[in-house]
Order: sequence, then C-alpha cells, then structure tokens
Amino acid sequence: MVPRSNYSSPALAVTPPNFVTALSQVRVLAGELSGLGRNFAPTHGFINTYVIRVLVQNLSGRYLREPNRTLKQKIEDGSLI
Amino acid sequence: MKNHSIIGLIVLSSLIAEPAFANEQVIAHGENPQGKSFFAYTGLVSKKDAGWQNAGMDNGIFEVVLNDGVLDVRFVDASKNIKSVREQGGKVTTLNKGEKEAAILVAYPAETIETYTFYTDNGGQNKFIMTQVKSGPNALITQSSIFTGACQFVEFDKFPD
Repeated sequence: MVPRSNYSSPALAVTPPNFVTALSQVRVLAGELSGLGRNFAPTHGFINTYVIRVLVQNLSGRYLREPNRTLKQKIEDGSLI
Repeated sequence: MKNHSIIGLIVLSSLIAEPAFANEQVIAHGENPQGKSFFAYTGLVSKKDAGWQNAGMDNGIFEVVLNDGVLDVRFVDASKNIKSVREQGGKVTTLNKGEKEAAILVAYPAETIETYTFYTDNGGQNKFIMTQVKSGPNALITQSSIFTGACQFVEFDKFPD
C-alpha cells in the first residue's frame, strides 16, 4: 500500500487502492499511446512524483469517466488531452 | 505499488551484484533524488498544479554503467519501473570529468535533456545533482526539474573522455 503521507496534496486525496488502480491505468495508457506511434512524455527520461500525480488526476480520471469509448477514439477526436 | 517497488529494487540490486553484460561496469550509483520542478501552465497541467512544486523520486535509484566503452544510465523512477536511457532511445555522453567531479549529458531527440553531475563535497561525501528539461510538441507536460541526493559510490576515473 502507498502511505497517504507520500501524496500530501489535498487534490490527491485518493485512497491507496484507488491510487494503485489509477497508476496502473496510467501505465496502460502510456503503453497504448506508445503502441499507436505517439510519443508519450513519461516514457522518455525519468518521471518525478509530481508528474505521476498530474497524470493520475488527468488521464486516468478522464479515461475512467468514459469507459465505453476506446482510447484510440479519444486520441483521434482529441478528447483525451 | 510497494510490491512493484520492492521487486524493482531487488532486480536492480541483482543487476548491481551481477552485471547483465560481461564487459559492463557500474561507475556511479545515486539514490532518492529530491528537489523542485517547475510546471508550465499548459496541456494537462491545471493552474493549481502549475509553477514550482516539490518533487523527486521517492526511493528512486539510478546507475551510470559503462558497457564496452558505451555509457548508459539505468534507473528506477517515480513510476517504479526499471528503465534504460539507451533502451528509451536516449544518448549519453560525458560532459566533463576530473578527480572529484564528473558530469554526463542525456539527450532524447526533440524532447528531453538531462544532466547528471557527480561530485565529492568538501566533507568527503559523494553527491549528485540531476536536471531535466522536458518540452516540445510530443511532451504532454512541459516542465524542468533539479534534484539532488547522495551517491553510494562514484568512480570518477572510469568516465570516458
């Protein structure tokens, strides 16, 4: 489990299990984006803790809010980012 | 995630103990980089997330390795994955070297530049400073970082010219 104290931003008041789920989702997103031939920033160079927070808040949130749409569709219509 | 972190550390430790390549040498080892990052208010970054932020890689580890004269950097970062600069398409070159200081440049074309500076301070402690500039049309998050931390060891004389 991830200690909550490691993620002290109030905006990231997620429970450890949710955080792990969200982080896994971000990894899936990164992999899928790479597979589509698009460079995904976190795959190049080291990733710091704050980048992980921003990604979890944004990418995973948007992805999980719309589970019926495929990632490819979201990229093509520009709704992912 | 903790399990992934532990597994990552174990695997990296095994790489340290037994190099993956016969002619490979680990010439520097740094741990737990911490510092500051500046996030531009663009793209995915919201207004409240923009600006200077405390950041780092909790329990992160990196090593500079020399394999048949070719430099590489391997690391476990905040994503808890083990990565190699060269496997990601990056290039590693020596910027400078001396008795108590050495620096390398890591460049990912059109996207990210990193520097790693190793030094022995006036108290005899081996330390590092690492910087990163990430921007460009392919970067979802435009940011710059500067982190510092301690080195378990640095073999300054092993850095290639």
